[in-house]
Amino acid sequence: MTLILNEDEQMLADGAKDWADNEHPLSQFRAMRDAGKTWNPGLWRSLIELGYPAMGASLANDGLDLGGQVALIEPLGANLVATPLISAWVSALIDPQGTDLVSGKFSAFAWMEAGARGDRTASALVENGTITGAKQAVWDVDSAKAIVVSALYNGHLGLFRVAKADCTITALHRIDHRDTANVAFDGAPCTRLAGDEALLNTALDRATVALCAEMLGGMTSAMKMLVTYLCERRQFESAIGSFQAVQHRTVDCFIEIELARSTVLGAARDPTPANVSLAKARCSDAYVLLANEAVQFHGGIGVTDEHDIGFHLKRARVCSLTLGSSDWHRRRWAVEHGY
Amino acid sequence: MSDFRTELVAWLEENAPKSLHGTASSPFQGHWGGKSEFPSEDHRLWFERCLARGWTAPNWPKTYGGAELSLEDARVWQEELFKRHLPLPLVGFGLTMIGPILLAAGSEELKAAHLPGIVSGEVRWCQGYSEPGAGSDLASLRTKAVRDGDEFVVNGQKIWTSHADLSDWIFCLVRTNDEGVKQVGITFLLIPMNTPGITIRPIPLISGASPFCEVFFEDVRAPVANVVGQVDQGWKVAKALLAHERTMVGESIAAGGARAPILFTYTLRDHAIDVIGTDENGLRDAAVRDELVRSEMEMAAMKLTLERTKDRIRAGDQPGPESSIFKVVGTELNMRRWELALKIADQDALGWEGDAYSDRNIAMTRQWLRSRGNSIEGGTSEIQRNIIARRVLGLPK
Repeated sequence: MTLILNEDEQMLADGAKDWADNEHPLSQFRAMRDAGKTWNPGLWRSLIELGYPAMGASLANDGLDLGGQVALIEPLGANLVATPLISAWVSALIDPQGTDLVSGKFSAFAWMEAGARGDRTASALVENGTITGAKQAVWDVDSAKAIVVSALYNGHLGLFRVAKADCTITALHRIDHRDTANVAFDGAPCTRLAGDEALLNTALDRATVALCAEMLGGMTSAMKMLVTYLCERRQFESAIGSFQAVQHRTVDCFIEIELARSTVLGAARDPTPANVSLAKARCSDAYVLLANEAVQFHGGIGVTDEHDIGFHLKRARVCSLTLGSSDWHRRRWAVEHGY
Repeated sequence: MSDFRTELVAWLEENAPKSLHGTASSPFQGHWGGKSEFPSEDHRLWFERCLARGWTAPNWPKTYGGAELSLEDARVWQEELFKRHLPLPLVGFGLTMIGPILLAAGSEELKAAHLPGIVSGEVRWCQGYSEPGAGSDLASLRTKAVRDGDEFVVNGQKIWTSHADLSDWIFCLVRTNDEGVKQVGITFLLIPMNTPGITIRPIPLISGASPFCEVFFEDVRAPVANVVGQVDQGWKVAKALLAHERTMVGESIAAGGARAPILFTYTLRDHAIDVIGTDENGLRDAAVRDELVRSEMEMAAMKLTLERTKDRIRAGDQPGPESSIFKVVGTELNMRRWELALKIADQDALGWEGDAYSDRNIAMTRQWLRSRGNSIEGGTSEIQRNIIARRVLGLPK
């Protein structure tokens, strides 16, 4: 296991960074938000044409290489590219029949229930081939072809595919303007998939690693904006980045990013529950810290809608509470280590 | 298994005395050389067997008594020792500080004169940098060296000199020029500790131990030939060494801390479980549990970051910007861990000495006190942050 990107992964990362910087600077995200959209079908199509969905799932023997996903996602996270890439990768695991990464066809994963606070338990119930229940904050429902639901069946947790037409979908308008919806089922016909609770955990842990890479991109981008501003902005006849109080807090931000980066690579190479929790807890807190500090040091302009740093503040908050908060992951780490 | 590892494992089986297995609580323990004595005959035997193979300085050139191991093999050597909790055959500032400096910047004469004595453990070195008026602002040092023919005459005082009382030589920064920028005019000078005019006074610390000394120089004469690098250009020599020292501090803490944060194989986690106990919700004290898990996870992140740096070096890269954080993160984390260890031990953490307290608890408390110096020695946390801000992040002066 090596904690740096290998040559193939580095190529993916460089390519994705070029693409994101040329085709999707932050202004693109702003334009999408201003247009009232939560994702951009044209953008998703170009990622499919570039082969990113398939590439992120083709490098390793088991067909799902987290190193490749991390390499691809980080640069997209830096520029807040809103695409269902992670959902597509998850779908390839839990619903291989319903997924075609070459054409971009995938199923959204509805697993979280109201009040679960990160827990992966389900109370949605499957009886007589139909499903009843409700799921919260499902990613990428709009761009998905179908929905995979975690539900109880004969007392066990199982995975079931449901057609979108058979669900009640309520799109959410959240602070980060991403495609997210609550989904309810009232006796909806469903198809049983092969997966069980173990697969659900594997899929969610792998999604978590990819999300961590997105957060890593986000925090790195926030750091860059922060350092640039500290060098430009002058008060008391000096660049504010020359003040020691500011410098030391900025260094602490840098430290958090470096530690976070190591944990993301560690989890990508060996996605045990403990390693994944280490990465998610670290990245959640680091991205939030970076966004908070960057806004603070931007002063008044930092809290205006006009400035892009606020987008990171909002996305950081959403990511930090998605797929388990840092508290949830710290608890899991403790359990994994016997205390 | 690599060829070297196979060979080494077989050699250790044969040559590492059984009584030494399991005795080293960190991968940085070992014989200090010079006047220090071997605790046992087996310790001596171990040292001599390693010396014969060049393994007291595994990656140094054979000319000077080393084994010329590659970086990779030297790492294997350390790993295999630590796996068995074997002490290093030799440790000390000769090996880790002045040696590398001489290898990089010393003249052939100086290398030939000093490196063999380091490798053989005959000569122990100490570092004369800090002064009462030159701590964080090291370049303002004022210990003066005035040229007199082929000699310098040194007057002044050094402080925080670790183990000066046990050392044979000191590598010093002295002021040879008062003009211009203060960084220029500093010279890197080697002086034998038995030179007339040198007085040493140990400084007892809050932990009760006394590794540090004050060193006074009164008309101390040292040959000009003992200058490393150029006269007035010693700051450059010293700076390279400081960077090395800071990485080393972080590494020693992470390597020791990850395996044995309290005493040997007794970990912080074990300590918490032993003292507080667990129930179906984990550790019985939820607040301590949260603190412990944060600390353990930060240690894991630090360890991974060290691994990442090593992976980078192995791939032929320079250590990345992440390597600059080791001193700050390592020491501050270590200090918080000792505090947590005390909090867990509660009343048992408050003993200074006496039968009412276990040896383990006394040691823990003393080490906590010692740890308070971690964020001060070798460049304070604040200075480290200044350096990262300027050099790594490029923030303005």
